[in-house]
Amino acid sequence: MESAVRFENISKTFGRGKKQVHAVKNVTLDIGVGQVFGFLGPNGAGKTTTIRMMLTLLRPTQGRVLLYGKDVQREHDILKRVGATVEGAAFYPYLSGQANLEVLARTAGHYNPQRIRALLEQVDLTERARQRFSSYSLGMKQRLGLAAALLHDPDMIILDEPTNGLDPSGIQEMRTFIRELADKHGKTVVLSSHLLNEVEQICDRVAIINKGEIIREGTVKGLLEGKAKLRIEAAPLDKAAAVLGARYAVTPNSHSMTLEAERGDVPRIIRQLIAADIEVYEVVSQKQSLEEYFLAVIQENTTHG
Amino acid sequence: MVSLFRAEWQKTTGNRWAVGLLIWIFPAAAIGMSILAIVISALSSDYREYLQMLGPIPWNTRMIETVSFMNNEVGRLIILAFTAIMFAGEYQYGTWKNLVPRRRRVPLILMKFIALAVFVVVSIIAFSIIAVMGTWITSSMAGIEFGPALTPEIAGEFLGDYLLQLLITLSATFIASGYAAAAAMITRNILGSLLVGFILSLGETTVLILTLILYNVLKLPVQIMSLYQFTPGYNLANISAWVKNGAGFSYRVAVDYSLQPFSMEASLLIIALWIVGLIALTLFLFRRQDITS
Repeated sequence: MESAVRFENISKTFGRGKKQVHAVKNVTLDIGVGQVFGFLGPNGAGKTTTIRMMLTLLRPTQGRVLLYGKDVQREHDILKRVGATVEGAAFYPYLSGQANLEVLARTAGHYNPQRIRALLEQVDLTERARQRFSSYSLGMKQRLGLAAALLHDPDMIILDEPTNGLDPSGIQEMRTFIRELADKHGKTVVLSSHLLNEVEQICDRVAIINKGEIIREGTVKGLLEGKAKLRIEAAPLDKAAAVLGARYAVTPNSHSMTLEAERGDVPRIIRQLIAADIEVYEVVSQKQSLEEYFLAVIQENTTHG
Repeated sequence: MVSLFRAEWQKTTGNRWAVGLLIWIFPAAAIGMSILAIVISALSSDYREYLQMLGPIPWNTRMIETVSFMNNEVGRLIILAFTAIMFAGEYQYGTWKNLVPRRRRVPLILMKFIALAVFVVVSIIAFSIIAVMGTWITSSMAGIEFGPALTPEIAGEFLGDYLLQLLITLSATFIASGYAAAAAMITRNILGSLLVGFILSLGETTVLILTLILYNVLKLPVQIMSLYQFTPGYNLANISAWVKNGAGFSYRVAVDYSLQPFSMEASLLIIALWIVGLIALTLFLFRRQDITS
């Protein structure tokens, strides 16, 4: 797999002495070309800090970030292949949306009025293009941010919380749009979000980041396949709970009990119950959502980490 | 680089209030004053007589005088405010995060200084042209001769003097801008940049007071007061004195001690070092800075 982004043991520390904060700790990660990659994590986990280091806005305290094999701190020109919006769209409030895009295009040295018009149309801002940015709604600001990220037709697009402020149809459009960027145009998309349902639907791979560390990383399917949530209806229920309780965290309900186990354990669990002379009426494997998985992982990391 | 300059120009002129009140205010003031003088000339014979009594005002002298209009406390404060908006505004609007991935940090900062210089030069030249035109109209109305005639000798001499005066004013504004720009990198805030820049520019004068205290209270050698001669304030005054009087700016700082004026070349060099130093300081502060807003 060709690597679009490689984090080599990067760390970022803010402040000194007692006020020192380790925002990102020893992150090593590869993101392949053409993937849609999601950073997941609670607020303050280190997602935006990691993204900012990719864009040279922050200098890593340790380690380096490679974009298409080049150290971004040393070879700034590699960022010409990257477009990004970071932590909410911020533009000059007194300029129109169009003028803001013109300023950015000129700053980067690739001013093309046709491209700007086409992008404004693509993000549905043509009618408001000449109005001041300060008069835009949050959703419009986000869409202008997306247009700015796509301004120079980059190979990689970094989107920090791209659906913030969008209405449900806007979120749906953004989701489709991001998938198309990867599927039809071969772009690499790196996004951060706390909307887990959205990430589950868009991303090929995800990394869960908590307290500055990557605690899980892999394909969405791969992460969710590992563990299953089982609902078991058996009698007598208290005896069944006692048999399985030695090995699993069992939650008894009125007529059934639930527990988390590896999918491969399911046949053994059934055999164990039958061997103990327990009547098994139903074993249902409930597919875990990314949200449930995320919350369980974060809780586990917070408890044991 | 032309493209980057156009970007800087577009975003700065787009802030109409800032550019209107802090840059175009100088030519606008010249227009206002000229209109006022014309109206008074038209309405008042006494004023026309007064102008006749004053005698002809040579256009070249008037034009050179007007260049130094910006070079005073109020003018410098206005330029400080404009610089604060140009540099600290990027922090306040959160726009550095759009710019830094698109260009290296050094050209981004240098282009701000270049754009600033262009704004100041355009404003000064517009101011002096408008002021001279106003003088020409009022002189005509009062029946005063408006000269001298534009001969190659007069033009050559005028151009040299004008450019030198322009350089002095530009240097003074650049020093003020340098303070505000460096302050912007530290405070990351328009008001903070303005205040710290203002305090730093005031600091020049306090050097003289500080050395006076050191000399009188701590009984340090009187030469300690020569430190003042390394401030931009002294050197700008010294260059102006050389241009106007053909002699340097001398200042009696103690009963038995006067500052020996530097040569004009030495002062020009010191000013150049200050400007380069302040730009370098701004670059140094920005180059390794974490952009967190």
